[in-house]
Amino acid sequence: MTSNSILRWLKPLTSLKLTIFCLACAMVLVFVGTLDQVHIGIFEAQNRYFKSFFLYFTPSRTTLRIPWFPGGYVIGGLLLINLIAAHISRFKLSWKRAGILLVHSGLILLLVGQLLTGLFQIESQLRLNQGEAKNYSESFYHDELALIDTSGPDSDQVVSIPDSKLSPGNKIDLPVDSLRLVINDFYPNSVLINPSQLPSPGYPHLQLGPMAVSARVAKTYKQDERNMPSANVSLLRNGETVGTWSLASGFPRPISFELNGKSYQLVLRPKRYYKPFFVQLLQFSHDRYAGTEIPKNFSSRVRISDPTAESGRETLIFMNNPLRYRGLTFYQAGFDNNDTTSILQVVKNPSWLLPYISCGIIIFGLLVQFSMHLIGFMRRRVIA
Amino acid sequence: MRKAAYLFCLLSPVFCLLLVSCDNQQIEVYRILKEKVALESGSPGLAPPAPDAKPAWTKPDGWQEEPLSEMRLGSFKVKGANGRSADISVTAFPGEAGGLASNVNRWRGQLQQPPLSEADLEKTIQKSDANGLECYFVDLQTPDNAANPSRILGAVIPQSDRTWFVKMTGDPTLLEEQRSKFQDFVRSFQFAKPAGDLATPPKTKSTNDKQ
Repeated sequence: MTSNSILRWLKPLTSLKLTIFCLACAMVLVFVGTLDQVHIGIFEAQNRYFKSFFLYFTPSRTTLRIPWFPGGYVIGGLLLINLIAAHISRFKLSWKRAGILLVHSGLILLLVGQLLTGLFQIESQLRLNQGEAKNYSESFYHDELALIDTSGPDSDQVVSIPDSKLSPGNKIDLPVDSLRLVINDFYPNSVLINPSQLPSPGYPHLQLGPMAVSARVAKTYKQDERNMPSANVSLLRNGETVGTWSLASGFPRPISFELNGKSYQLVLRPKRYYKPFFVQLLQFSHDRYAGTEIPKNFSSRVRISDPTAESGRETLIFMNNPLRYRGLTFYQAGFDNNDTTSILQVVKNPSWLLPYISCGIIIFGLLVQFSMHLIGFMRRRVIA
Repeated sequence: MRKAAYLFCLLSPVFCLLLVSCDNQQIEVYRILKEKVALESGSPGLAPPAPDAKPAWTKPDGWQEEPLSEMRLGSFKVKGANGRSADISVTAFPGEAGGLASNVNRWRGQLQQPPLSEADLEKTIQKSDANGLECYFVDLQTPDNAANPSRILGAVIPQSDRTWFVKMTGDPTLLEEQRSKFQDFVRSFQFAKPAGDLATPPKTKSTNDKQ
């Protein structure tokens, strides 16, 4: 294939009309997504509108998913291809065009950075009571079914099965001890109630104990509410059932059992992200303006204890002053229990620097471009 | 060279699209240090996690400590004659934990007893203010004709942020013998004064909230 034939093939992709079309679609997407965010919350809106290839329409009484509008990935991807293709076909490397090239490179980096953020950013919460130390944070949106081998003297082996795999009827071969997990039932959201509180005996529920059942309820999309899934699972070894249990994320009490001389625990809980260090809450402060209940400042004094560091590090986290440590950012997000519990938002974003770098490149490119025009204009004036 | 650059530029968005199509929610297997070992191997400055406003108590003689679980903040066993035994648990739940009446009725249900109205329940609940500690005692038993007679000595201790439950379950005669020890145990609870404004309702709040 010659360069000319590639250029011919690229031509529709370099069109400015495609750029305008993508930008118009992006505007519609942002508008519709922002409106829908009121009903489905920011997390679901992001997944449905921006971290998707298409928006789908499901006709009533069917399970069909008909795409009706491009999603964030398609629009962003087309814009990226459009920009790169335009560079290849139109622009030639020269000093005169250095500014434009820099601006466009910054834009490409911005788009790629946003894609990487969407793919690799992990957000979780670290909930600490005063004095408590933890080496893990928990997801606000995702749960996990954890099978924990507690037989080791110093360490536990955890097999974490994400909630996306817990569909009823699913059979999951676990990578330990030839175990197979069968999901008999799964409720994406449920409430723990007394059996006498069930609307009817046939209402979908799982028996957790003699006086507690987990009743199925609709998923919640409210910003300050969490879905509490429940599941009924069976564990099999070489085709023989080891046990069948009902578990609820809202009641994360591990089920303990012995198998093949090993002690195991099975628990459905918010997904955990373990860290190689501990964070201990020394003090949480909730300052108010004198004589009012209006908050003035929230702050958490924490100590980081890292086995690889020589000594513990103490630091203060407060609004707009997060702690950055080992690729993680800890923000002050909330509080509980009469100001004795602090809730920190933990964000892991390997590409957090890319937006800063790309904005820097764009600014530099614009300065170069305007300066070159200005110098050229002034030269022409001097000659005239 | 230029051809290779074209291909790279065109293939990179395709690669990105393939990347987003990947299922990144996979089963993970990893090892974690047991909590006790992990805390000990931390830096010398790290103290073990402070008890979550856990009260101090005096364990009566003859009560044997049992392993704790995620729910149990205190767990004991007491053995009587003829192989009889009783189990004692200490648990705590945020706020009012459903209220006194619903919890006593829950215990009644465990002993095959029908639930009672709040007015009737009040007659069965004994309030105590000994040592400045407000607590409520109940003594519940299975019906006379029950196949497996059992009894519950329960105590509910409301605190500002959570409600504490002390429950002794087991053989009715053994519980009768242990009644005074159980009450002494509950009255020995000493709570540290919680920090913060007690008037603030116990509810998770975002720092974005106006108040």
